[in-house]
Amino acid sequence: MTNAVNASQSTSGSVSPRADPAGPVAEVEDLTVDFRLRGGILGRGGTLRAVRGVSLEIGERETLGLVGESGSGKSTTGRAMLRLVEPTAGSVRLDGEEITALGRGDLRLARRRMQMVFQDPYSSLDPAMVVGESIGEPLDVHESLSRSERSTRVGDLLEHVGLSATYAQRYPYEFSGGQRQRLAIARAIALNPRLLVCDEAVSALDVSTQNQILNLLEDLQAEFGLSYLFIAHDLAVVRHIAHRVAVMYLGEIVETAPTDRLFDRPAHPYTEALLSAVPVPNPRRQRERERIVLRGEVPDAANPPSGCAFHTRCPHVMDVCKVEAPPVVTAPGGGTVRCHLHT
Amino acid sequence: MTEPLLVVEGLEVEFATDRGWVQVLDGVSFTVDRGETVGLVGESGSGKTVTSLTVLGLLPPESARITAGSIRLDGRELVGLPRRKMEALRGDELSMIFQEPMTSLDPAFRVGDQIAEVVRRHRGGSKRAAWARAVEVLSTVGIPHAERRARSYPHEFSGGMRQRVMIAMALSCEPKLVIADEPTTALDVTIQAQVLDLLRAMRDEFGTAVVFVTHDLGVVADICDRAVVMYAGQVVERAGVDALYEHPRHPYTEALLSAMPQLTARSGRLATIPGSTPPAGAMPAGCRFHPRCGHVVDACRDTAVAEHPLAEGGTSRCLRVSELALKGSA
Ligand SMILES: Nc1ncnc2c1ncn2[C@@H]1O[C@H](COP(=O)(O)OP(=O)(O)OP(=O)(O)O)[C@@H](O)[C@H]1O
Ligand SMILES: Nc1ncnc2c1ncn2[C@@H]1O[C@H](COP(=O)(O)OP(=O)(O)OP(=O)(O)O)[C@@H](O)[C@H]1O
Ligand code: SF4
Ligand SMILES: [Mg+2]
Ligand SMILES: [Mg+2]
Repeated sequence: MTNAVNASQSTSGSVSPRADPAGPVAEVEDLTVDFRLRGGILGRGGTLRAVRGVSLEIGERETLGLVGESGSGKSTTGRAMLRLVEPTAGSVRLDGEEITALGRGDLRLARRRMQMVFQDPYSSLDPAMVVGESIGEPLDVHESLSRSERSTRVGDLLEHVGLSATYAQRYPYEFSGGQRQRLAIARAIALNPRLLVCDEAVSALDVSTQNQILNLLEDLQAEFGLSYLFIAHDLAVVRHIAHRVAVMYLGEIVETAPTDRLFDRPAHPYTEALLSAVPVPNPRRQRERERIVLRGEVPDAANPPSGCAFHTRCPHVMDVCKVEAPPVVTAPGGGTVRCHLHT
Repeated sequence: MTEPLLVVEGLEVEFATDRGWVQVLDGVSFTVDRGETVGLVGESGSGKTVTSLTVLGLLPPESARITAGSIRLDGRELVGLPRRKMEALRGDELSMIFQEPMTSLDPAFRVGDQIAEVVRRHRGGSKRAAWARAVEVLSTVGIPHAERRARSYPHEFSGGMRQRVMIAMALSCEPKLVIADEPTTALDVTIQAQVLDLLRAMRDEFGTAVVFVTHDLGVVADICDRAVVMYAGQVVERAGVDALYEHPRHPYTEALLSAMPQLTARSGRLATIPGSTPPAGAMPAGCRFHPRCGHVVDACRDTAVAEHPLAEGGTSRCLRVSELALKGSA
């Protein structure tokens, strides 16, 4: 079974350079991503800085949860790490190798080590192809296998994600949402990646199906040493799966922490508000719950506030917050926080 | 008239597939009162979206058909209503909010014009009056500087603001019933909470009733008065939310509640319901949930189970409903 996923390392292409074998699998430093806007409110173009100097690290067998405001740049961060969008500035290293500098050919090789699983399982499979073809596609691009080798590998992958090898001959419409998400994962792990970016990978699924997929991700991590960047709005899911969590607001990481510390003792006022807004799955307790209501509008990403980006909505705002951007400091109990309450 | 605002009764819907017509809804019944918010929850593929689309008259006519049942809105039968009449109802008395506002808003038009267009289609009146109404509803849903923002294009709004634009559009004609299919799934929880507050405010102000389709049992606990639980094309339980969470009366509901990951502490391995959803067209005999049920007895395997009305109100489609004491969420 193991060879289903491991074989890719020995067959073709260069072995990944690893500067420091004990170092992080992925290292992102000062990542910035700009989008050019066509026509703003007054018909002017402009630049939207979707990701503003993000730095993060993901270790081997580690799951980093990435949570935060809708539109804060979580997906863009994940996509830029894989260069599905081009970073404007900053550095992304995978096993010590700088990804941002790679030319086309080398990038293609690097991509086998990092894969993405999206929310919509429907979009990641070609409806006109039997699923065995879709899953085997990365193998065709990166490895030259005989027909029978390929079909064995595809069968092994299917069994790995809890599906029967015979499903290879079926079309996507014959699968349920949860099964399709398994297929998307099978495709993503086909080349034995080091890093999987899961972008809202379980949010379209019912609780039981979602849990099956989360258990599967944990099993794959234990077995193959995978690292995950796990982007999600569902904080209970993040608490379960993540070892550490990073919180984004308006293009910046405002807090990082070991998971328990983040949930039990949030340091940033935005994190605190976020946690207080999670509805409790019990109507009586939910009615008694106090939520921290964030006043004011979500700021325009193309025109971020001065000082601390959160100051326009922060319940604890002080004068200094309006003029001075807070530095990143060590947070009580571990991790980092970007807030003047802690400086 | 004492009938609830919406009465869905014995709804059966089939889809055309390679294997012929396949039934996807089997005897779906529920009601929604004026000003009431009813949650529609259940397994992926259980028929929540198909139920919503059927009520809205939006099933694809070539590939879907209603084979039985009745849908009454304010006493008027919607099944068999001519297309044009149904179109007139939608937006006027009945409207919808979908998960992804980007697919329902036209990127090429200013949001104010899109709302005004809906208003004019259903209410007539001048362009100027329709525009004024658009600005008014945008400000009702909490879009600041609505006068100016009405001139913006959809991509110039954040996800949460776009969702509010969708809600503004859905509410622009003060519908009696809004059907919202996963309207907050793509939003972070603070914006989700704002959207839920907004729906509550609309209910209080206009008496709007809402059918709220979602996987999120926290959202149901927060906003719904009652819930309808679906499994494999059938309604398996209906109950007020307090009762549903504390004393579920169907084993599927119990399994769903116990599988919820907790926010307060990391669980060990996450609970799942063993097995998988039966594919449409290949439903197990007896209770449709029996192959996956922890309380199954022999009788469950061969007796098709009807919905049992419960003394405390609501229904359960479980043969053993009177003898089982099921676990709720604490
Ligand atoms: N292709 C694009 N062109 C222009 N702006 C974009 C593009 N993609 C994203 N953006 C903008 O970049 C910002 C970050 O978007 P992103 O999708 O990364 O947010 P997110 O944190 O993933 O949000 P969500 O939780 O809603 O998925 C947003 O303001 C968004 O509108
Ligand atoms: N156009 C279609 N043709 C054939 N079958 C369909 C079609 N649309 C839906 N179905 C089937 O109808 C059943 C119910 O689907 P529906 O989309 O209502 O599920 P749902 O409860 O909304 O699920 P989810 O929670 O995943 O959105 C499924 O078995 C689905 O495969
Ligand atoms: S009828 Fe039987 S199998 Fe079905 S839910 Fe009840 S106990 Fe379980
Ligand atoms: Mg995103
Ligand atoms: Mg649906």
